[in-house]
Amino acid sequence: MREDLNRAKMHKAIDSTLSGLNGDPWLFQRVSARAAEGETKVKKKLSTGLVLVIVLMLIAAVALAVTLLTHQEIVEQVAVPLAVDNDASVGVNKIYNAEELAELVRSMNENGITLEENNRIMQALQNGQGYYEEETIMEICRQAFGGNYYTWTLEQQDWYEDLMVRIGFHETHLTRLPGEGNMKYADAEAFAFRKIREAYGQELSLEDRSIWQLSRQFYVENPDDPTSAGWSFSLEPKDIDHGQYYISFCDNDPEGTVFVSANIHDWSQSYTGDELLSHFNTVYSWNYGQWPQEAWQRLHEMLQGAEIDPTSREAQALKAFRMTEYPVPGEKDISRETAIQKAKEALQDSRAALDGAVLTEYEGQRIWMVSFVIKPSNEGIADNTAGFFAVSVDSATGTILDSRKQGLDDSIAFAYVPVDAYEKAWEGILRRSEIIQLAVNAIREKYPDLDLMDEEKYEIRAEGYKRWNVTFKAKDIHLGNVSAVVSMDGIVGEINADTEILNGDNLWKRYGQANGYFGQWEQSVWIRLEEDMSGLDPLQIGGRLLKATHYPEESSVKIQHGRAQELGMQATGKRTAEVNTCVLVDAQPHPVWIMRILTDEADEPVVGIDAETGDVVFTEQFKTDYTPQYVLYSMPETWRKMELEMLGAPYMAKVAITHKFGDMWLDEPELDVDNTDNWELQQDGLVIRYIGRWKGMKSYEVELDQNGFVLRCEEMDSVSTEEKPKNTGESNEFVPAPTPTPLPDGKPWFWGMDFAPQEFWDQLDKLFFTHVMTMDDYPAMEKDWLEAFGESEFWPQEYQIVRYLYYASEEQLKQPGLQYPVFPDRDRKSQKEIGEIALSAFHEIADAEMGKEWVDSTKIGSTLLNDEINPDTGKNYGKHVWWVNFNIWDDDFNAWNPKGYAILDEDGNVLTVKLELSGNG
Amino acid sequence: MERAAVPGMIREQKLNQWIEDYSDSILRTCFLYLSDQNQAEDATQDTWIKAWKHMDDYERKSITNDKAWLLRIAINTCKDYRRSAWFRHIDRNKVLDELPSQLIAVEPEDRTLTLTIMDLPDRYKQVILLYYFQGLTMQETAEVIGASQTTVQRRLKKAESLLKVELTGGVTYEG
Repeated sequence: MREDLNRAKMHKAIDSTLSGLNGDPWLFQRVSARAAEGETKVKKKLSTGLVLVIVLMLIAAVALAVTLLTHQEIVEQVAVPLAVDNDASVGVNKIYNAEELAELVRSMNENGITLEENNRIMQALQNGQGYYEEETIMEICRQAFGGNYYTWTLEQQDWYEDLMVRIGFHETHLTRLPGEGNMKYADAEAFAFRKIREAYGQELSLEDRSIWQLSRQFYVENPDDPTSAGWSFSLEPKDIDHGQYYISFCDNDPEGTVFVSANIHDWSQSYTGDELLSHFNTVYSWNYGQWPQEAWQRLHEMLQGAEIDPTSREAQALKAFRMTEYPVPGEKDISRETAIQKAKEALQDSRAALDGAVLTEYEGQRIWMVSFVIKPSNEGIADNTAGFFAVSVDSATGTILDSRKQGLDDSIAFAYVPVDAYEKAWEGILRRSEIIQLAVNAIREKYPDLDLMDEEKYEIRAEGYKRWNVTFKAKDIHLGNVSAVVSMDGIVGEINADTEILNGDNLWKRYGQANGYFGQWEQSVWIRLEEDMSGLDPLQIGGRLLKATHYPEESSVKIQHGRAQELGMQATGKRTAEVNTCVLVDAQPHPVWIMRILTDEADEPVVGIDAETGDVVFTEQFKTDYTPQYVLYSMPETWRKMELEMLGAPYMAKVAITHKFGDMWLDEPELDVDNTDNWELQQDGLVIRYIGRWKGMKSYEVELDQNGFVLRCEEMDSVSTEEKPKNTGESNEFVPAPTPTPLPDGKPWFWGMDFAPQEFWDQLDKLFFTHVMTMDDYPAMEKDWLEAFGESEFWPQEYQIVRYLYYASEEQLKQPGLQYPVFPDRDRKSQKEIGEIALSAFHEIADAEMGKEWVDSTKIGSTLLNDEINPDTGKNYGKHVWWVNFNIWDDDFNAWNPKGYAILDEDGNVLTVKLELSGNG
Repeated sequence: MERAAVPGMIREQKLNQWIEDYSDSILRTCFLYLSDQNQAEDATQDTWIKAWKHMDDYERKSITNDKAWLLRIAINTCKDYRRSAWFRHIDRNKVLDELPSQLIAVEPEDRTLTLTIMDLPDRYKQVILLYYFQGLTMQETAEVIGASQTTVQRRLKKAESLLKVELTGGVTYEG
């Protein structure tokens, strides 16, 4: 298909061009280790050069001098030797075991260094667990130096890097101290500040650490290359009134290589609540519990002038923050510490770890909102007593007013506003549970027998961005999944329900729903599946192969699951990534473990291992997207024979050709030898030939045996001397294969699908498909229409509908909430009239800025859509709307480019009109 | 804010799994969006950190498509980065030259196509990256960018026309 070709080409282009750009495992280890601790960025792999980070507080240099030595001694004399001694190899995932960690903590305590109870190291120790070496050392250094790695002095960074190389965490020591030929630190910092001021204003008091935190780095990527040494500085604001500044430059040519950038918000202009919250998160972190009282008060004040998008995920929270005041605690208020103590007593759970405490005021009542995290006693084991809790404490009396655990419905405001404000802010916003109930009600109207709220039958999933997708995931194979799309304001749109009775062909899908990805199934699941299949009668090849295959007990064979996987990986002879599927299948003379192995060379061999002898029984190649899944759960002799019977020798020959001659590495589409424009099929019993029709093409010959195994698969140059015809119409090169097959009456496969009402199909029938025209004629029609009208948005609406249907995939047309072009109501405005009305409206808003002549020069493209989303509100209009684009010719791209749009209803009422000059969005 | 809804070890396992599965594709998407390796790496970091922070949202809302969810975070993060003045003057050819050595030979037309994608207006670049490069469905693409499917289709079609020369130039597809 055209889309597949584009996808493959873009993939190849991007993947090859960016093949040197890869994720960095070192970096990600740090992310996972640190992200929870409130840092908004973490240290990068040092070989990548420029690094700018957001930092925590610097501590006073005087304080460092006192504690530094002790901490350094602990690290150098205890932590590092332990880390070096305990590893057979080096790497980023090395841990101190529980005993080593205990020894380290004991040494620290002996030297007067203590860690807080809720520190991750202490928690690991209390749970009898070990902890990451690098993180443990970092924790000690943080105590000594304060803040974040990049706020440390260059000497401290250098010392730490040296340790990391010694314990094997880094291979190279990138961060260094400036040497003889390098800029001095003071000079580099002065240069950085001067450049930032030149770019963003001389008045910036960048030296003021009460406003900005300073991060810095000096690095040398290659000691032999003086041009690889560089500096970077970052100034992170401590309040939201100041901007964020970055600068980097090479050491040997600072003027010639300087890069300066900034992130500055102008809050005197209009802004949304989401933008504001996002910026507060940048300054004060995502950890709301750590926000200072004044941050809350400032957020409250600034929200008064913010627009709150009702469809925003945080709309309720933003409303609640806007309603709640955050006063400075006064004499009549109990202290923060007292409030925390009373709240903790009320929770009566020693595991409760403080999240935060903030004084609130709503409708004259002042309340301390105190929040706690209670972790499960055993990680990974469900614990209803664990969770995130908010306790409301009367600030005058210390009385506990409320204590709640956060639920699925709750927003981020849950613990930081009083209950009354929190509830009030929900007005006009539907909660998750209400959305689910609306979905249930609507589904019941259509399918009254479905017991959707029965937890034993369905697991409910509801997620929403601009609308909610509610899915009732069946837990029982006799039931199918049910889903509904619900708008933010509660209108239930598309409903999809798999109400099929269990049969031999949907059993596989139902097992997938109930048990997840089949590659992870235990053998017992396959055995149950076999039992369930026994009373069923599948018609399709996948089901028939399941029925034809016996799945024995693992205990009946000598070689077990784990050993079989090792043998399978050895059989590939490659550095393997993982065994992706593995199932024991009955075969002669012994059962066989069939597994798919993903290798680091991007191929996916399917290997069969004899479950008694360990021998490799077969190796097949699996090509993602093109090889059917049944090769992973049935023996080759079984599925090949069935393929031959049901799908035929030409199909099997085509697969053989693709596997042998297709470019699997790039995941390009299979060789499309059944495209009769380019290849002629010749069949002589089990010898299949695909003869290239044009000069320069390849021809193929495949011979199969009677069981469907390939005896021979050869490629040869086509003998044709005929040139492939040129100018057959660009679209012809991308014509999709005629699959799925047409309906019995010859109409296209999508005809009559229930995404559109019957009258839609009736109208289309009358227009295009009465006796003479089929979808196969579309390419020629498209060529004519392109010549007549240009790009498709300039076509008459009816033609656009046909184009849409032609290119839409089956999967796409089955998606819930499908939006598609529809037929205009003949009694209302025509497409031409709509264009005229829209242009008039566009004149009104664009003439002043662009001039009447420019507006008149725009080319109008229009499409009538069934239920377009309003770009202003994110909600569906709930009716058919015309989307009219005003395009200007773009010489750079040799194409029309939209510079504005209008949306109108079918009566010509203008719903919105916009000028969009940037073309970005 | 750490909530106990997703126990720590499970969070780490999940994050590590995501990183393993999607690190390259998210980094490359950020790079194509931002045209700057260092910024892309920072944006990728931020994406993982935000994913970590919002893992409870992920769990609570039972998001079924990890990749689409992560890409939405990544794209939004990149948008924030793009507000920076940094991006006003970028020579994308130079940017590509400065990348680490490619692991495989790059054909000139692939480089040209990549540069052209990088130069597309954002609205078209987004859909190209998500739909074609990341392989999301039309609906998933629409959800990531917060638009309707028809908008995605319209933008895809426009993007295809903008990329037409690079997609077809000098290359003949058989079949």
